[in-house]
Amino acid sequence: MSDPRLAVKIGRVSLKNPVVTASGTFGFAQEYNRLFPVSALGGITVKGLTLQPRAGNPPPRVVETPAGLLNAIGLQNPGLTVFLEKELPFLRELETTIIVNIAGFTIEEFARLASALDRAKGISVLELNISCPNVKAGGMAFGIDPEAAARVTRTVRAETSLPIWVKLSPNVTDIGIIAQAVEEAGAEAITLINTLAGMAIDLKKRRPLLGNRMGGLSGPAVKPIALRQVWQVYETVKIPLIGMGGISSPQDALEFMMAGASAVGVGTALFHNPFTPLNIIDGLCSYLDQEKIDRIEDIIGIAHQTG
Amino acid sequence: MVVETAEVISLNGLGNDLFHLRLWAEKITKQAFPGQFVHVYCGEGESLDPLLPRPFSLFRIQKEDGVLELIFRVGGKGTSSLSRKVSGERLQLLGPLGRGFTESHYFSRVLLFAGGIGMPPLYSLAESSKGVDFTLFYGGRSRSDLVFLDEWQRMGVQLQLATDDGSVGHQGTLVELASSLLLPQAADFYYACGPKPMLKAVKQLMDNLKIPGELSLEERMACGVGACLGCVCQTVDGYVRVCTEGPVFPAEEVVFDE
Ligand SMILES: Cc1cc2nc3c(=O)[nH]c(=O)nc-3n(C[C@H](O)[C@H](O)[C@H](O)COP(=O)(O)OP(=O)(O)OC[C@H]3O[C@@H](n4cnc5c(N)ncnc54)[C@H](O)[C@@H]3O)c2cc1C
Ligand SMILES: Cc1cc2nc3c(=O)[nH]c(=O)nc-3n(C[C@H](O)[C@H](O)[C@H](O)COP(=O)(O)O)c2cc1C
Ligand code: FES
Repeated sequence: MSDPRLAVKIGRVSLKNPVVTASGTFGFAQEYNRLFPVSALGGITVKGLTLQPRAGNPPPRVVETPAGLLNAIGLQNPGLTVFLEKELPFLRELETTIIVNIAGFTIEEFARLASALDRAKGISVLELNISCPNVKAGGMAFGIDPEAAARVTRTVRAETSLPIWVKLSPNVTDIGIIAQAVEEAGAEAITLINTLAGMAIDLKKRRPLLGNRMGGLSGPAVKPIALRQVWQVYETVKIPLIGMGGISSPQDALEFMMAGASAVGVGTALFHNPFTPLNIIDGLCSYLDQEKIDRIEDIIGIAHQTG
Repeated sequence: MVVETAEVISLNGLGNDLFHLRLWAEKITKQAFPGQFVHVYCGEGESLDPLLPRPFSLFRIQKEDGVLELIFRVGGKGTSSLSRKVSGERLQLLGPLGRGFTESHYFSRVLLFAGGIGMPPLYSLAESSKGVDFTLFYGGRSRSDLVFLDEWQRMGVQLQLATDDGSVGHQGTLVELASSLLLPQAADFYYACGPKPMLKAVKQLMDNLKIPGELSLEERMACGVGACLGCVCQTVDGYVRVCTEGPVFPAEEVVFDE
């Protein structure tokens, strides 16, 4: 049983605790379920799903950097039909919130994904990935233009009654403008951040290391940037935020929540220690005990208070 | 597959940046098979750098004693940190991971091809199969790359060595050596582990000699458990995960780019 003091509300969605997995780092949950009961998590965000199956980018796809990870997976996934037949039945049985991350290459694809998933059972949230740096068409293009970001959100809004979270790219000049645009278009929460565009060179081959040449940076190295963007977005919108980017400890999670995140995502830190999300949940409980705070929700955005 | 806190029994330098690590890791050892690998968390304490665990093949799997042995070459951050561990120190492991070799006792004459640090998984394979006639083609840059030769011999494995500098065995590649010695259908099966160019050449030679076999591949990894899709290689079925569907693949499924 989850400690009731950890429950949080993200708009219409109740999470039993504020720790979810970051899309693309947790597959469709079956792998990590062999190591720990994944139902202990506040929510599970599945790998980015597209209408058609996608092969993804050529290897190498991952490169370690100082306290960070560059990846260029290229949204490899089995596509909508296989997801519904092979992955959803397992997810549906889990006693946790299932967040389905979807990516379209056109607005039409987003619409078709949303309407098909609206009819499926066992899904609690659609997370719109308008921020993937690792695919050529669509992907991040929707996430760096406020008009396009709003159009995707509105289109999906019209196709489904499921709660919609929009996942933003950090690779923009002013993330607040994009956040406002998707809020007005009907987003019920904002997930941030996706990975930061980056690259690495193979000195021996004198060529880019990643098969896709460029990739996205994640992990502890990006934490201060992610935290700053959560702070900024909290000041510009009213809808709840799911903060992520380098979170690897209870302290990191608390920083994000104090900066304004109602929930936190854990991704890359899973690779450093698969039990990171569980350690964070335990650490949050201890924090409430120590500080004699009744509910974790009381600290959300607390760092913005003046005086 | 479990996360286990292993204890370092011993760590010995073999020269030439190679190290032999013996670990007490009862749970993983019990579950492990030749050809599988473990993820080793190499960092110091709570340090987030190096961030990722390092994958290593299983050199020896001593099920009765719960002892797991690895051989690794120091190259970068993770392996140099690992090379500083001392007896009694604890180390986090995740494993056993991946799909190992087809058991070799189905065959009577078996060829093994080891390129440098590709040797360890073939050792545990040979050690686990009694009554099989093994020949090992073992290649490296020079004599110091080829380790545990006495132990190989003691198992009754025939050795064919090749070095780039000719300091021991044939001067040249192990594939040249093999092609000068082997006749069509000289064996029932083969297993190979080593750098990609070597695996590609071995597969070509074995195809010509009509001998089926398995290749153990390497790719950069993050999760090691199949969740991130970071470690794929190209096969006849498209991109598949080396950490989960591999690292051992039937040779006919692997596609090498030109
Ligand atoms: C299934 C498998 C089995 C392996 N078995 C062995 C073994 O028995 N003995 C041994 O010495 N080596 C083995 N390797 C290679 C070993 O994992 C790398 O040499 C090691 O990860 C390099 O780490 P580093 O800290 O020295 O290098 P760094 O340069 O610090 O590594 C940076 C990143 O690149 C990755 N990386 C670098 N080189 C390789 C490589 N060749 N293969 C995969 N990832 C790499 C690292 O894991 C790390 O994520 C194996 C690799 C795989 C995939
Ligand atoms: C290997 C990998 C794959 C990812 N795949 C996706 C994806 O499919 N969809 C998505 O929205 N974000 C994806 N992301 C981004 C993460 O969900 C997360 O936003 C980012 O990595 C920052 O969090 P972290 O530092 O905790 O990993 C991926 C990240 C990694 C490392
Ligand atoms: S390393 Fe993550 S899928 Fe293989």
